[in-house]
Amino acid sequence: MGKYYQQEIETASRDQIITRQSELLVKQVRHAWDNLPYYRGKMEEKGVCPEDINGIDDLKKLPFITKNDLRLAYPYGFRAVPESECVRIQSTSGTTGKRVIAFYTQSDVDLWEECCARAIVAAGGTKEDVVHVSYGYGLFTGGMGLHGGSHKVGCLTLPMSSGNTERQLQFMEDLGSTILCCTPSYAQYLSEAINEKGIKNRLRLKAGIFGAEPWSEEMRRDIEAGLGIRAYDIYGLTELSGPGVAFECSQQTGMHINEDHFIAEIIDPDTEEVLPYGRKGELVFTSITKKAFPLIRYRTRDICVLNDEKCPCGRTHVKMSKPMGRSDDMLIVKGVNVFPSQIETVLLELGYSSNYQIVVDRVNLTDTIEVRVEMNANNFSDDLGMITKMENKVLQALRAMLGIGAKVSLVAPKSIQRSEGKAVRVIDRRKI
Amino acid sequence: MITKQISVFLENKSGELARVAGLLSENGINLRALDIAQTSSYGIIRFVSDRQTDAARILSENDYVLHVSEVFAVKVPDRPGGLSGLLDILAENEINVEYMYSSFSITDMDVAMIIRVPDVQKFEKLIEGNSEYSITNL
Ligand SMILES: [Zn+2]
Repeated sequence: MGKYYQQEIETASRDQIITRQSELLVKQVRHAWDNLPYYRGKMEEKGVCPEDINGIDDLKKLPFITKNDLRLAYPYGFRAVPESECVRIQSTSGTTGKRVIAFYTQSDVDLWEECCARAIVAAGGTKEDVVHVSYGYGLFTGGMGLHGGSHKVGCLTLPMSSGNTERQLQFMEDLGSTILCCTPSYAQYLSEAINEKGIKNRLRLKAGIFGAEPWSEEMRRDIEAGLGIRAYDIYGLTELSGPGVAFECSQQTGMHINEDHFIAEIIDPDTEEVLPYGRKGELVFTSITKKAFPLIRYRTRDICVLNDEKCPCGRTHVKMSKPMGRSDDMLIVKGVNVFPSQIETVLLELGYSSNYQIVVDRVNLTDTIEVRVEMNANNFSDDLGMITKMENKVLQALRAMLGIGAKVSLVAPKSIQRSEGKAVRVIDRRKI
Repeated sequence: MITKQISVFLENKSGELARVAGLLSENGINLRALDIAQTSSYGIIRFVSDRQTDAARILSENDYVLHVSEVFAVKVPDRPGGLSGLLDILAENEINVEYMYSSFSITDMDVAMIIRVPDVQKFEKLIEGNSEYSITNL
């Protein structure tokens, strides 16, 4: 195996790619129209029918799908094949109302795993490699995706899952792991542990594929130096398949989007106007090969830039920059999606005012989240134990809602800063 | 005779208590008893002053969250065993105390204990029937 996993498609000419995208788009729109009454309704509302879509130039005529659509259609509204055709589900984190359950046919799983295989090969992987998968396994797509990709490449695959650092290091050393797949923050954590134990020279790591979390160039340098590897970024969304929608090549200057499976657009998040390559805007994906869960013009809310300059690696698929932010207020904390609105719901239910603040930080390489709530007269009692109990109640309700632990601080009234009449809800102190 | 006590929520940050005390003194309000209960992140100050209604208004105007509760001020003679005698009586009569703290001196010789109990009537009856201790106001 050479530099590419699927050379023909990964280095196809732009014309070939566009032609293929056009053909697949026409088919996919017909598939959605026939099998997704919800999306058909959106098309009818916009006055578009499958006959209007003859190629990629007609993409802009189609209605967008938002996370809210997925919520309204939960759980089966975007499943476009009978259940008997489905072989798998994966799910995003987040609780009721925010959770997305994605369905896969066998072919969907295969194509997804091929995308991950491309990422592994781009990171230098061959069948001689030992791939150490420390992403979580289960509903989360990270573990299952890279695991499947590693199988496709023919690597020895270590399904480590996350946590249990001692065991991670033991396996890394004893089995000679060469490629590490996990979140960048866990890679940083492992790097520290390895250097603390002084076992770096006993390891054979050469590359890492890190995603599911925002990370900076600074973090990349840190991980590369700490582990003595090349660190590659990977991008994906459960809604589209999982990791492997886009991946970095040896150039490390953006992630090639697997354009034979996904059409990428950049739009102005406010006007929804499509922007040319090079302009910063919200990333929108159309999944053109997925059968069970075909999303058309799905708004990712990730802000980034597309780049179609020729890449020295030989791949011809456009590259996306690292996401530079969000067009909504979603936060990613410990790899979990957190919406301020979820926190607000909890606080209002427990009788607190909507004056709250979320402080996110990274302490000892671990994300922390603190929710600061203003004490109010209705909630205040003279009893200190009672206040501690109230704090615990908020803490438990937040844990149930978010799935991660948050610190709760009751603060003095009016002590949370307001700007222009609107409170500053989120303070993100992480340097990423 | 019931005493009105004001409890104020404070974050456990330096200068917070000084701000409250400063606000009261600026307005000529005289503290008679003061207690602080705290955890690592927040606290409650409880106090009795000579003008509780004004104190409550001023603090509210300055965005403090407060709670007014009813407590007793019990005069305790300034001699050995003055306080333990009172505690013995409360224990013998199975009176639960949520908290108590001492006032500043009310005369040259005596202080009062500020006592918060769940069963107000039982407490009142017990002290009134006792010759050594009396409920006072500050
Ligand atoms: Zn490239």
